[in-house]
Amino acid sequence: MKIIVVDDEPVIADTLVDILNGEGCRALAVSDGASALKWAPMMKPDVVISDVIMPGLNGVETAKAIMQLFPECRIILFSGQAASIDLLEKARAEGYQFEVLAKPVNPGLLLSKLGLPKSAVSS
Amino acid sequence: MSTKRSHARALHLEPESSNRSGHSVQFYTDGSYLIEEVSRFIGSALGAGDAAVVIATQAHQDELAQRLEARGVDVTLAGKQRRYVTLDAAETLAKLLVNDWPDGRRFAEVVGKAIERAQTTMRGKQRQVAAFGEMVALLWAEGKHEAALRLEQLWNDLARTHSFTLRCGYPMASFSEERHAELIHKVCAEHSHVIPAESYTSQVKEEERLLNIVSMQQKAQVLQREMAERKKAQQALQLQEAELADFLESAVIGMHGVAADGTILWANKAEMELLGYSREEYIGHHISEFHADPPVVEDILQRLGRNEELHGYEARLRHKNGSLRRVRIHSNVFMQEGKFVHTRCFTVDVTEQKDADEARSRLAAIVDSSDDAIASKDLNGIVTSWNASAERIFGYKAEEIIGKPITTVIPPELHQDEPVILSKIRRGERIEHFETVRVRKNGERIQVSLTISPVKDESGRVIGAAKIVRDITENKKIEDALRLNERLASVGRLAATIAHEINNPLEAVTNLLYLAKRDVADSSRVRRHLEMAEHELTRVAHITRQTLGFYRDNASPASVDISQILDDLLFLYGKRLSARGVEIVKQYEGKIEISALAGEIRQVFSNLIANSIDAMPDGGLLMVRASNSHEWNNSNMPGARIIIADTGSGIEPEHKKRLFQPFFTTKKEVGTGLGLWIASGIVEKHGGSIRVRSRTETGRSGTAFSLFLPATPPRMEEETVSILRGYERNILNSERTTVA
Repeated sequence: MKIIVVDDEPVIADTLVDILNGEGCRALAVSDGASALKWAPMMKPDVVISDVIMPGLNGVETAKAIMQLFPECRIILFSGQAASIDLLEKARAEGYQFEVLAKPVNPGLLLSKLGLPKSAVSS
Repeated sequence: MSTKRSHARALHLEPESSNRSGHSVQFYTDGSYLIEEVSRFIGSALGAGDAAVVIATQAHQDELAQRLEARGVDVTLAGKQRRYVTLDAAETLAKLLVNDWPDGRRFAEVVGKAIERAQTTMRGKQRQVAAFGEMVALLWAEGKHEAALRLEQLWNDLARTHSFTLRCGYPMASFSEERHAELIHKVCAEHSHVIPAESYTSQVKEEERLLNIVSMQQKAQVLQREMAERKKAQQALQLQEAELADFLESAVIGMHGVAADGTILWANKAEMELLGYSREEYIGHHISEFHADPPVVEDILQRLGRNEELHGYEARLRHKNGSLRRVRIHSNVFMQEGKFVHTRCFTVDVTEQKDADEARSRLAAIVDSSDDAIASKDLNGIVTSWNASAERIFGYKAEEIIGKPITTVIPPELHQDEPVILSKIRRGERIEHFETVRVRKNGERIQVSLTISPVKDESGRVIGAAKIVRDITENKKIEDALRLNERLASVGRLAATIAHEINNPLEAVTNLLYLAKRDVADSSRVRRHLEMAEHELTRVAHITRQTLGFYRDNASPASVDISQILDDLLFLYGKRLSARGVEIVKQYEGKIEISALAGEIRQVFSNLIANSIDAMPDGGLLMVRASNSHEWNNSNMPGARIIIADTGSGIEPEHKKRLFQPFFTTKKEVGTGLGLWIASGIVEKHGGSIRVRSRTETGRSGTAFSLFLPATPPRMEEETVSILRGYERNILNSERTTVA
């Protein structure tokens, strides 16, 4: 499974990629939406996991752009603050429905959402 | 000339022609003197065997007959002998007149015949005739002077054809006026002889007569002088009358006189102007035509009829243009010997005054019914008026406070405001919506909004001040609640920011712990994961530590480190700032500490920094400067000056004035319009000041807020704090209820 992880906090993006790669995925960490859009055509991801509130392109804008490029690509947004609710509501009004997870996200839950076999660690 | 008094010649007055030599005139004062003289004239003629014709009044005829009898003349016999002919003067005169003018033909017929009859004796012989005539005197007495003179001429004409001596009699009383001086000459001119009245003629001796002339000359002198004086006096009187008339005519007060029956006798110019009528339309009319209220004019006439005096009697008169004039009438009756002659009436127009009075009472009613307290004071701060609402709001009755200083309702610590207010008023300035505190009679303090305007007299001189006082205690409570509400809302906004700052490290920690568990066999990796987790937790701890107390409301001011607060905020907003590419320039001059409510001060800076960030969506420069300083105004109070400036879009000049008003916002989507209002409220509460400078020119735009906070704040109002406390309690209670 090819996954792009977008978060302006490098620690979060890096650790998540480490976890996903440990489950046999091919995950890439980027720190903003523009980078994600730059890498996506080369990587053709199955899943994009993105933070919502970010400098530059925010998570929702990034997700919409990805969906236009790869309609089959699964998008998962995760956010730590209430402000993102506004952005998501706006997107919903435009007809976009995203999967949203609240930070902090339990890695085991994320893996099961991706349909990956639960490793021994997450028990 | 038949008279025997030769001395009469001495007074011969230039006869114009000889045929008048027998035509004399007899003046007299006393009728009996005339009869005496005529009886002498007639008597001597009859005594000499001549004839006599007497044309006299009946009374004179009778007296003359008596007198002649007394002289021994047998009048009856003489009559029988046709020597004594008598004719009634009035009857004879009537026969002579045609259209009031003596007719020559008729005169010849009537008088000529009578003379002729007397001239002819029984035997057909001619004899002398003496005639006495009074017809001229009758005409004269009627004022028909020309006719009298004409009659004299007819006598003279008759003398051309007939021989007779004639005597005319004129009473001196007919010549009593000055203008008769010329006429008496004319009368004399028609006669050959003039016989003066008795005062002269009765004197027999020459010396007596001369003496008499001197005496008469002296009398004439006296009379002449008297007449001149009288003339002068009369002229003076006339002048005085004219002046008096002019005085009445040109008086500014309307005046008129009314007869007993109510007819207007006269009126002056002011009265005409007051009512707009011409003299003809007013004088001669009944006074009631001009009164608007019939019962009033009836009452006026009745009162005056009882000889009552009217003072300031109010009435309404009808102007020619249809409008009504309100007047005050002063009137009384001019009585003469107990009789009502006419009234004298002064009419004063009080329409304008009445209208002004009514306008004043209308205003007074408005003032009385106002919900706001309306009071006035003089320039010494002494209360001069006090309306009903003032009584209600302050608890003082008008009579309790009028005459007392206004400082009665000003709290002692604010007494120094009063001279400032008064000096502004003296300069004619107005004070609008000045919010302050006043004291009720019961000592209770109330929040008020004052509007004070100078009161000016007609010449524009300031004579006092009018104040409108609105009790805003309730408004203040609502405002305070609103402020609290907004503060709670901003708590929410900050909580979201904080959540982000905490949830992100937690996300990292969660992931790191998952990895530590997964990589448990590799101790070095586990160690690295845990170190990173520790670092993230430190970050969380830092954020929670600095945000703790962020919203705790310290009841009393405590020492606050300004640069610390600014640093914390810049750290908190650090991500938002860097995300927009905003560069930060910090400038702190040493340690800056003041006594303040830390939470509130933090909120002020937070609001200003957040505004700056909003103003720079595409990056810029945020400058934060703090220094120990002094207030720039006269107080020179020590404290801290903080400047938060940005290179953002700037504030439009038209917005600047409203910047600190509640609900004013230029950020329609995100702003509540309360941030700066709250900030300025907090600064004011701390006794500080906040100023703004801004530019909107592209390339040079930006905004700088400059704050001054005193080192020690003034006594904080406990009230506000307790309201906040109460509000918080209520919210907590309601939350608890919801949970339960």
